[in-house]
Amino acid sequence: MTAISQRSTGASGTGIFGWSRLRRREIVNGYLYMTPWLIGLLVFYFIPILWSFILTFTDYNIVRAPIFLGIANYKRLLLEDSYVWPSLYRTFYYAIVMVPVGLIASLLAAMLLNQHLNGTTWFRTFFFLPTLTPAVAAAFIWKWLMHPEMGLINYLLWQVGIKGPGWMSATRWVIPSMMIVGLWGGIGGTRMLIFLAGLQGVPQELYEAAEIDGANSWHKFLNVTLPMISPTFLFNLILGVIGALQVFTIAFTATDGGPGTASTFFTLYIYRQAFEFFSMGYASALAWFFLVVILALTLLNFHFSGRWVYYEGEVRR
Amino acid sequence: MTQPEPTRPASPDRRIVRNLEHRPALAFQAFTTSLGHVPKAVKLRDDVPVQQGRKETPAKTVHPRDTRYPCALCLGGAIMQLLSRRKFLAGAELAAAGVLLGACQPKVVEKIVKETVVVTEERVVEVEKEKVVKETVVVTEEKVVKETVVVEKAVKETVTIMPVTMAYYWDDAMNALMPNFLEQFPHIKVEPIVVPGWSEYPVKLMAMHAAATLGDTVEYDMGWQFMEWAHKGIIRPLDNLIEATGFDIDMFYPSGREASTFQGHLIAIPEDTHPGCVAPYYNADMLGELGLDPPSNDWDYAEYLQYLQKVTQDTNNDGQTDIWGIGCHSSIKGLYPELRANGGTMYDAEARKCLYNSEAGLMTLKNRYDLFQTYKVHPLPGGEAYDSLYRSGKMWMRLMTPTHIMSMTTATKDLFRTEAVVMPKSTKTGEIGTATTGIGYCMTTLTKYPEETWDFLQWIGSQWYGLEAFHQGFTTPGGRKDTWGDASVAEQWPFAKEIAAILEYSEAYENPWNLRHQEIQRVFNEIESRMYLGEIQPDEAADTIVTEIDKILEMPMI
Repeated sequence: MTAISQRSTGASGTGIFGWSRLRRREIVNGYLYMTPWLIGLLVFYFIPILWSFILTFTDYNIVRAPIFLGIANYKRLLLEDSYVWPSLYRTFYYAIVMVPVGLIASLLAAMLLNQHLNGTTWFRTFFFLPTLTPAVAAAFIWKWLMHPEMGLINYLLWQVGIKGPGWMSATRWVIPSMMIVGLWGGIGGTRMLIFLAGLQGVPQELYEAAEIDGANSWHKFLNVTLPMISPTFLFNLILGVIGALQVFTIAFTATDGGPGTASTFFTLYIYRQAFEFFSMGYASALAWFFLVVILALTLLNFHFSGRWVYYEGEVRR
Repeated sequence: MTQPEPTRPASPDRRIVRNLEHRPALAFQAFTTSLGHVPKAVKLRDDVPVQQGRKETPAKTVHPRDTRYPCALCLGGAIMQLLSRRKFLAGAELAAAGVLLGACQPKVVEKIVKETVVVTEERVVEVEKEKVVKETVVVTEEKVVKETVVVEKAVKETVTIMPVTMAYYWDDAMNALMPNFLEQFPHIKVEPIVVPGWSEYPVKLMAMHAAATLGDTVEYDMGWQFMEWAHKGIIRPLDNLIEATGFDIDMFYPSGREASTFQGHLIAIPEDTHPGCVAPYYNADMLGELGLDPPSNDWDYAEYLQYLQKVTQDTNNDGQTDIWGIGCHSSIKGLYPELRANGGTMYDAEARKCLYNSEAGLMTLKNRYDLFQTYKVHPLPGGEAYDSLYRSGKMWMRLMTPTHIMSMTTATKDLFRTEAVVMPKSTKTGEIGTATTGIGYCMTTLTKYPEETWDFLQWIGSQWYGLEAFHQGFTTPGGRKDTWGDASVAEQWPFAKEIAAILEYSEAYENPWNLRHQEIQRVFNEIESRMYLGEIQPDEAADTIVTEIDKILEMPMI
């Protein structure tokens, strides 16, 4: 035993931290393998993020050097810009509907697919297909489907005696229209697959135990399924909130934020400031402000998750 | 008594050298002989005084050294006897340094090249001849020949310029025109950087400028965008080039030049100029079907409204409009001529306050609002594209810039006849408003070849280009008086003379003092759109426009 330990440490030479030569070589090799990724992270993520934060204190139009403004950009966005709060309101309106409806619909779809019925594989594929459709293509297709005069949806409504709304052309209907498009693309996507994985991870013996105790399907869902998939639910909730708040493509491609400003979401407003008006400093300030908002919501989600998320093996005090 | 210094008898070798000093022809003979390896005795003439005051012994045939050595070495040996080793080494070092310096100046040739491009070839040759003739004839000839070769090579040196253009412009018609330029300037290659469309263009341009990869020319809507680019140092003034080359800029319409001028400097060639939305086009066949005469250029606003109401129809009586009267170009650009016609302006004299809530501004907004909401002759925004409605016969009239008249006439020629008419005069002032716009070509500050780029811009701004481009399918005959007024244009497009007449008095857009037009336009469009949808009334729209635009005008220069 002593001989072995000597061979593993002393014989091959003990260096700093008592690491063997082999160990040191492994560490060096490990870092070497990581280096390209680390450089990529540093150059393409960390430095630009840091740079964007510095830009929030400047007036920068990408052509001339940034001019230091202090906190003027933050003052403008919080107190002076009449577009900031309405666009934030629209974004929250979209997210508040999209997140719960999307989560519930995805869970229901996952539960259906978890019934092990015939043709489940086909249904899973069909449910997932909208996610594979490019967002821009989907936006254009839906724009035509929802066309107030020539669209298929209004035509079908007209066939049953209903005068369809203006959909994306009407101020009141534009965000609900985008919700429909968002749900179409989001229900059967990655979120549903994550739920499905969560559902398949619930131990069967728990359901059997519940059945022995006389639980019906609803009771089993409420007392076994939901608690067991609550970590999955939390994961999807956090991703869903972040994703919904970042809604951009549909508004950018289908309506350009219109009619009027009815679909000018916060991210679209950031884009305009950056790439239409070239106010990179102000756009950076808007982006960092939005980051703080999303971060706060995520932290709130985590904070309250302790009340409803159950981790297997967790000891509650 | 000083003894005269004994004269050292000249050695045969030294004598040769001295003789060579005085006898260039002989020196040349010695030099050329030395290139061969057969040594020959140098025959010296008897009557050549080798040293002043001395009569040299008449020479016979002298051989400097052993005939086994080449004559070059004989010459070298002679030189070595004349010079001390130290002097020889110093001279050799100097020569080596000279060669080295010469070798380290590869740009010298290019300098000559650049100069010779400006100065004529003949002059260079003459100067060199004069200079060199003083020395030896043979060398002179060699030198002249060499210089001439260099000059010819320089003139043919190829330069590539890169116009940053749009797919919309650099089409087949442009490709058909390019051979003319390449023929005139064979040393200039043109490789366009094609950007897909209008909306991407400014973003791409700014990014390329920031990355120092921007091409040599840029083209865009004349007016505010050029001012912004000039202010940011992306494009350069053209005044010096115009002055140096005598380019006839006065041939362009004054408002086109004004729209291309920033702080007193011309920053673009107003290649394509028109007076804005002053001439709607319409489906002439539709009037025939309705039994209506075509509108005349003297019609008034009441007649205009009557026409629009008559042509707007619900053909199947389902309560939905099937044929619309008109589809107008919205935004500031679309309303500007009407605002001017009503006697209004967008800004105050310093362009620091918006004046859209004036009587004229309100009247302009009200007129447009009535088309959407009161008379319902205009489809609401967000529906089918107006161009599509027009082409499919579901819209009678389109109010756009004159650039669209020809393109739509061509697009619909197999379906129906498209004609154009001048906008009715304002009921308030009795005038037609204008807002000159079009396309200008600018030179970037990053160009490496300003002379060649200027050649390209001059070509773009030429009468030939304006006319040929029009006949190849461009939508207007350019921005020059002699193209708009050309008989061949009138023959192909009779309505052009109406546009040309308006261009004579047309005025350019006003630009906000801080050049934040893009932000102003966005705000304007959003409020205007809400008004068309009936969400707000014209007076509220006017007040909101002024409030929001004034906020932007309070911001610093872009």
